[in-house]
Amino acid sequence: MITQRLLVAATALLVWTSAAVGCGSEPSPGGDTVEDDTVELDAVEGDTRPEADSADAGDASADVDTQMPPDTSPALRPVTVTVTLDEVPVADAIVIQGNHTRQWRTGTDGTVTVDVDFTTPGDIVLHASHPEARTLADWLFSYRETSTIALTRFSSVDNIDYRFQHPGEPGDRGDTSRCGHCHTTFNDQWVASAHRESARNPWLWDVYRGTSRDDAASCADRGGIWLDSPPAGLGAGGNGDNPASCFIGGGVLAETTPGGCPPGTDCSETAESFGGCADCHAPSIDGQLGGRGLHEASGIALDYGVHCDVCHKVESLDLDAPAGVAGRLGILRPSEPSPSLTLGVHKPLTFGPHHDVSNPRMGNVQRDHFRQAALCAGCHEHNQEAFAGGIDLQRWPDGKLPIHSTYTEWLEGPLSSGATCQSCHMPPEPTLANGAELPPGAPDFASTTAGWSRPPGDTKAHTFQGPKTKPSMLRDAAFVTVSPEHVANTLTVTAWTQNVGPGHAIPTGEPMRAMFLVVSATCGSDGPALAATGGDALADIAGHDDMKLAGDDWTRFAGAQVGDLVRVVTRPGPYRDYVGHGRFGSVFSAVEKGVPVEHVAGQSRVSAVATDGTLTFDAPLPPGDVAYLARAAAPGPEALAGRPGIAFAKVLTNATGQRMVPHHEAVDVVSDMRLLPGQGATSTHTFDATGCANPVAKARLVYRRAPRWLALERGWQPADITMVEVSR
Amino acid sequence: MKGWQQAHRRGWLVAAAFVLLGCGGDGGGAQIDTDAADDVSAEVDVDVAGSSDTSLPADTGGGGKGGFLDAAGGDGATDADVAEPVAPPSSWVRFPAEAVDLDPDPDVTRVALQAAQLSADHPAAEAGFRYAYNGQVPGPTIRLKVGERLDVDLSNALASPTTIHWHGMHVPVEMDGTTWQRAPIAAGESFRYTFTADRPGTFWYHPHFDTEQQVDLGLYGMVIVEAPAEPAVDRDIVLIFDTPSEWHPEGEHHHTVASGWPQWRVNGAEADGLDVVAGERIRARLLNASNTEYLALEHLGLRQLAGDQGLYSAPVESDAGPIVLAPGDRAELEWLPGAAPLHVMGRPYSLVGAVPDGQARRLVTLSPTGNAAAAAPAVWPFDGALPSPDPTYTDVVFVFQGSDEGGGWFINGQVFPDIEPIEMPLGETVIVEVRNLSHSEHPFHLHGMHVEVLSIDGVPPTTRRLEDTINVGINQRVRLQVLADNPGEWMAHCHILPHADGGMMTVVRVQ
Repeated sequence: MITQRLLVAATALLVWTSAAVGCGSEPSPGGDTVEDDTVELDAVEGDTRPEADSADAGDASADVDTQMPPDTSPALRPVTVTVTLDEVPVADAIVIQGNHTRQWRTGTDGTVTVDVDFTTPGDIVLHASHPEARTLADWLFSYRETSTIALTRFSSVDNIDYRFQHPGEPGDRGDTSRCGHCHTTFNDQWVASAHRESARNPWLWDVYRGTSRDDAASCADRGGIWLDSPPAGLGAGGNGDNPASCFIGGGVLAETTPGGCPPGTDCSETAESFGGCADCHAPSIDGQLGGRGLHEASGIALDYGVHCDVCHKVESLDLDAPAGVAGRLGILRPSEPSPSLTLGVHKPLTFGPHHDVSNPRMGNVQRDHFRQAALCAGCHEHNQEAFAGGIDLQRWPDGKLPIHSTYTEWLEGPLSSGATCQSCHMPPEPTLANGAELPPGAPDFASTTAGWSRPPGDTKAHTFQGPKTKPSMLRDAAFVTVSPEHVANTLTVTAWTQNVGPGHAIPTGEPMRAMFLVVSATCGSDGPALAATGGDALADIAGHDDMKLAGDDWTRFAGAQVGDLVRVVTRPGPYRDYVGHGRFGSVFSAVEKGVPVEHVAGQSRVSAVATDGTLTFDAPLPPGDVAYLARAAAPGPEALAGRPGIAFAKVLTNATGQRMVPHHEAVDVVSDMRLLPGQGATSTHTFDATGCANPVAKARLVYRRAPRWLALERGWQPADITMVEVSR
Repeated sequence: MKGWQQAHRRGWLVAAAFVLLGCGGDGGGAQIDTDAADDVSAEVDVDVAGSSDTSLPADTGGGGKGGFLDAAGGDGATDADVAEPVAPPSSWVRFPAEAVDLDPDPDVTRVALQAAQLSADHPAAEAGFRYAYNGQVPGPTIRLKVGERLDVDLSNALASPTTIHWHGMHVPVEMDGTTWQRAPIAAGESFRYTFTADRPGTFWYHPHFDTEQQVDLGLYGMVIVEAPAEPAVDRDIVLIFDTPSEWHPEGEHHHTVASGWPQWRVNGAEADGLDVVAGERIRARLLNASNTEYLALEHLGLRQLAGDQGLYSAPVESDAGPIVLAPGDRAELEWLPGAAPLHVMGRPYSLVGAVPDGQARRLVTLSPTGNAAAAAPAVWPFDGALPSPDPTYTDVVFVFQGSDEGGGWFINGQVFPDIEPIEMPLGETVIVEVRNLSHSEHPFHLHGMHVEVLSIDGVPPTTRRLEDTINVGINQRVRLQVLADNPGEWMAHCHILPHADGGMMTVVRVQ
């Protein structure tokens, strides 16, 4: 036992020696055993040990060994802890021992008797946590019957002068003012996540200021205006490092400016709304929170988007307030001056999930919402007024459109009873015993600086799992099965598409996203395609190069060339009476749900184009209600409209009736046939199997991040992502 | 290297040195007299330890048998990466008494089982168990031949209802011991389970009512169904691994807070030695009866003959790494001891994907008597069949979701009993995909039928594997083929029992 204790003491010394030069540059541990039951606060609140140099730390280790209770003493010994808040005993403070999960709560007299495990590995430390104060610790270098931890209430007034801290990134983690300096794994994970990219996503900037992804040459071809140095009022642009851009028009700033705003013009002063983009996409613009323009994002706010110092400044939530830092996320930036320059200008204040983080560099205050889905609702739930045009108040009585509804999709779904957003999107980080890089199996090295060894699975990765992470969450989101039936010369394929993975709808979030089941058939597994003859067809939102309705001239399609296809669908009458989210569930009628049934009628290929543009087809176009042109060699996402399949999307329209528009243009949500959690959809398709003895049914579920028309307009290259592919 | 890493490494070095100096082990203890295995009592008496071990060998000094090697030093002991030398065994594995056939008809085996509480001074109670069948933990091993009818008369002497589920066996649904659509056997009541054993293999029985508690407290035993064509071995032994005292009345899920090495019990007791004769052939039937803990075992020359459902199509020889038995899993190994002891080591295993904490430790050491060379492997009737091809479609999907933190364990977004049964047409071959989207591993167990493993994350098995309990790792996809040939409504669930009792269970309707 003596040998073990010496080992603990020696390793504690090593940790503190390491801490002195690295993450733990805070004052070194106390050299003396705390003699007085009342812990005196030194210059750095949070570290209640007397300051000492490293030599003292060595002495302290020796003291620990010699002053520990005899080996025969029980492991658990009672210690009566008194917690005060601003010098007044406080009830309901949480007391917890480092390396342990059991919690005690102080009574009305501010005291509670706790069982302290003196055999626990690492430092023997008690913490006191209270929602109005930074967590503090008391080191029990030897057994004492009592302990007092004096907490100080933090200022509840948000400090507008505070400057959000740099998160650090690999290769540039700086000193301990950057979270990534110590939390390297979390930092690596977050840097690769979508949260980091939230403010510099080029598509975001294109939609905000009316640009495209063109270079100078292609910009001219598109008729845009190339500016090497756009006006400052248009912001730094995507990625922030190359503001030169092609301005083609449109965008939030121009479209919310009365009378419009020419491409490339600084309309930040004339725009009547900034769309609230920055409140979630660039929430750390210093100064006033909320209502800021995205063009104001620069530096940390632009480069790092949703970063450590934003999320961990969320003191409270108000789900009825506007999204993001405009009110829903109650940001509290510290006001108190720092007691030490090593801790920055202001005294650190960090909100997090744990009661036992007493490192003064953190200034930690525990909040439950870090383990709750409501935190994510801060941005992943967004109802929006129309910025351009009016909203049909009969259809949307509160005057707002349900743009992002991920949180309520989850809340109303089955997984809300047992799995939070964090359960899936912040999985356990198996390589760590805590967020401060303590590895599993090293509880001896736990301390205030190194953190406490947490149970397996308790330390959560900051990868923010999603479609782009590995494994992609798209892989497991859906289930597709096909049931072919071959009778006479017809192959009938019944397809079932089901949301089996996420607790929210698929697709979710940004309504530009869509999911398409594309059904086909071949003769043999690798044989020629069988012609589709009927059944459910993919709607216009699956993409086309031109669209004609019954009564239009179907001999002319814009830009058609030899080899292009024209797919014809019928609208036999009823609308789909699907069960969607919100008002698309129980309020709207089938017609109001906005998805007419469309059936495949057939297709013909353009065989000749006359000089006047009149088309000749390889076979007469079948009769129908809608015809879609699909160019044979068109750029951008595949034009799928009219093919056998079924489309899943929330469809926003603008004042001109254009569909699948960015949400700043939206005046209506005309349909929402996404798959809710657990929900499935059946579609039926027929193919001509004449002469084919072994037809094979195939289905491919693809995920598209942006509509085809917008991708073409802005020069985006969103490759469709295959989620599921089956054949039978 | 960071400071703590350096300290960590130094710490382990010192710790290892401490162990080297401080640990010796005096060996000894009791060990099985294998000849006594047939001399058992069939009396149902909760006060009687049902172990077949009633004698001690003359030489119980483990340290004197064959010499014990530092496992890291090799010499045939093990290739495990262990930090400590493997000391001689200190206690010896005892084997559960076999059930006595009370029916003279050679085609019928009739067994009487009584489920009852153990007396506090019972040896099994000291090992952490509270309940037992026929007063022994594990319960009597039931051994019969393919084609025999098994009648089991269960009397419930517990204070609460119970059932028996015949894990892995193809039984009529009304004999399956589940309470879906059926009532359990009330306290003081009796019930006869009757069915015909239709395939060989290593199966087990346990309650399927209040399962987490009743299994943890000791209600389980093994069923061995022998095939006529299998070769004779010198010994056919049962090794049931368990970690008692996992169940908590507050519903705390032990595994998420556990750290370190589980307190494995072997055949109901703390034992780490197995007396063997050099040169003999042993067929070892292993079962992980733990509620939550995974058994990752390895030893030099590991040769797995069978999984849950009888012989594989070819043996799996696994020197490369441990075989993992999830809760409910079985494996059959062929042990061919020579003169040197063989250390069967257990690897720490985290079902939440954490980096294993610590080094491999000894589960049991085969301690040989004699100097004969190891026997050649027996000629097992492996059929050499290839795994069925994995088709490009799926009929049924099971998705595991949930977490301890959220408090819910789901299959397809549903929590038992609020589920919609999954349909499988009677007589059809059904392609099943099991996806694990939660952040814990889950052993998928299907009642009433078995599954063939088609692929795991797209990789087909090296041998044709028929299982009824198949582990699904985090983010893993396991594809299975099921012949839905047993009509009824069957449970399908995670066999981590707190997960199952927490709702990770559904029903497959075969009709």
